[in-house]
Amino acid sequence: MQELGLLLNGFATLAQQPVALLLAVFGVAVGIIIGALPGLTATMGVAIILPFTFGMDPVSGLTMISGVYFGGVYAGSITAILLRIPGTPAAAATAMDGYELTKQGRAGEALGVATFSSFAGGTISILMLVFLSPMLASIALKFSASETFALAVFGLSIIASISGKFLVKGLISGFFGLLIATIGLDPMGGFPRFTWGIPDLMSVPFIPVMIGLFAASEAFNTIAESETIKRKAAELKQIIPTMATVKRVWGTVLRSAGLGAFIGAIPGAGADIAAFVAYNEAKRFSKTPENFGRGEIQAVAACESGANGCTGGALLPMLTLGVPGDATTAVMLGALTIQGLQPGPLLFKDHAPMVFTLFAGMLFCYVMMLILGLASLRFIGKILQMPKSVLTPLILALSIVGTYAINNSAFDIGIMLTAGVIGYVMQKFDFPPSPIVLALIMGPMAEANFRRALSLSDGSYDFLYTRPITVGFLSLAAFSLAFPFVREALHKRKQALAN
Amino acid sequence: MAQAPSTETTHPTARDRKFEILISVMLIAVATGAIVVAQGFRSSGLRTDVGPARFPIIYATILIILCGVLIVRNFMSLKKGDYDPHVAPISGVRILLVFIGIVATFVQYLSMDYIGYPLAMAIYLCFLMALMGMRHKILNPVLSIIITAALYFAFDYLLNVPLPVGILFS
Repeated sequence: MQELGLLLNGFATLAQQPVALLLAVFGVAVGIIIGALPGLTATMGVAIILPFTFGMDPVSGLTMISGVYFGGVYAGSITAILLRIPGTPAAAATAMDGYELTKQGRAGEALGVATFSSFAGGTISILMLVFLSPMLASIALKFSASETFALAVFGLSIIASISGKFLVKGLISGFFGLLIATIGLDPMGGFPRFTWGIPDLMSVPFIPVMIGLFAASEAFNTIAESETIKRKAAELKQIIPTMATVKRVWGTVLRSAGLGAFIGAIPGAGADIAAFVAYNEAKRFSKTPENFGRGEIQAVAACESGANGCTGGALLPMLTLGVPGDATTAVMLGALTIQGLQPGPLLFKDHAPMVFTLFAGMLFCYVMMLILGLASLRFIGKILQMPKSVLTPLILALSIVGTYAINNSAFDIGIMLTAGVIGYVMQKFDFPPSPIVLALIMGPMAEANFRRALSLSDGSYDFLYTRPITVGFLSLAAFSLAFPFVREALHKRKQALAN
Repeated sequence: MAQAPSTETTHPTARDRKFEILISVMLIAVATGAIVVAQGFRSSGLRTDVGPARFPIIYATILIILCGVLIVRNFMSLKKGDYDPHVAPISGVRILLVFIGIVATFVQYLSMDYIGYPLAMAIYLCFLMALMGMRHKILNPVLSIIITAALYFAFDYLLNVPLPVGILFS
């Protein structure tokens, strides 16, 4: 309970620093704008804001950066739900069901649930960071290359879940994505694979592929559609979730937040992995799993709670061990250095009041994210009222410029457009695009860590069955792959018995 | 409370099944090509490493197997007559519009390096809006310029992303 006392003192200290509070609000607002734009990520937002913290006191600077981080992770869901443009990689999971809900005229409900789930998931993860950091840190320390490989395999097994009834086609998409993910430099020896001497192919960013598969393909699809806006789809109704919706999603939110925090604590695993894993588990525990992928509100809640639940988890190894939990916290390490702070166990010992004031600031950031997020939704929702003849070109223009912004590379735009054409064809023949995105995220992680683990075990494969956490994740992966078949078989047996 | 599904469950037509076979054949060709190219990857030299070729070959092999399964399934469905007999006519106009839109997007992308972002994007937006039915003589170009300028301001000015000026204008 010492932590509770320190946290309350932190709130009292923060209340006496109006500048820090204003900078937190500013950071959240910037994060929301950046996260909503395709091609720009929370990591970029933090990197852009970082230099401005040079002249600030630690609490103000770090709270502002945290605001950008949290706002950025959340805001990717806004364009994902409204326009099927994932603003961030984690939002690709949200787009699967979020956009389906928009097509059903339930955009307001989806956005409202996304906002509240992001708030809940993020707040829970910060509280876990405050009260459970020693336990989570000890688990994070047990993760080596072998465990990270097993986590990636578990993540890949989710392909079976997100493919829905098109399992074979989903697996084809997934393995096609895995093959594409091998383009570039070999992770161990640096050997160029499938590059044919083209320097731009040495490192193929997956965000252009994601924007192409989701946003550009959908835009191409709407070019030939007639200009009949469904007014119900264009209006944002019921943004604040009803009690019935809260009852339906609260369990999912809690579970996904915990999952997100756990995954965030693992170095190298970020919000994108957390969102897909949370989606998979929500579908497994749902009473209506057949609705996932067709507009299920629990899916939106799971993805957003999981992604934002990752933020507290990712901060954990950064603060306690000096090891970043994901790319964004790697940049935030720079912020700590600018402030003259050394992350690690001594940070909590020597600067406890400052650290807990920072935690209070993070919780304040999440409250501001909720308020600003809800306030901006009605305004952002006006986008749906635009005629398709204006909206579709706008989406394509945003996709092009957003893709260019990643690396200032026109080549990335070519990748995005090619992925858009492929995604358009995939849509026409019921090949799900999400497995490709999942494969692009998890594939390199799986290969690099497998080969690393093999080297660490001197060429022996025994790390696959002698390490408990590895065995656990691989077993979960096998279960995840087999589960759709088993459930289908049980369902058919039940129907046969009923007949 | 069950959620209503967003799309009707449609049964593939014979044409869909034939196209799926074609796509599977193309993917098999890609995967086979990947295996052939991967054979030429140099080993990393580490005794304990599987090398850069192992994983691409595994992925490509599994992809070939899965495509084979899809081909066999579709052939059997065609043989059994397991497809929707009502074939909706292909709208040539729709396909042409989409094709033109895709080509226009690629032209915009390729021309940006030469004529710069502002001009390429404004012309592209003008054209695409007209293609989709927005043909107002004043509103169309004005909206194109506004959208181009707004994106320029947001990315180039606020976020310091230098958009291409174009070889002709640099």
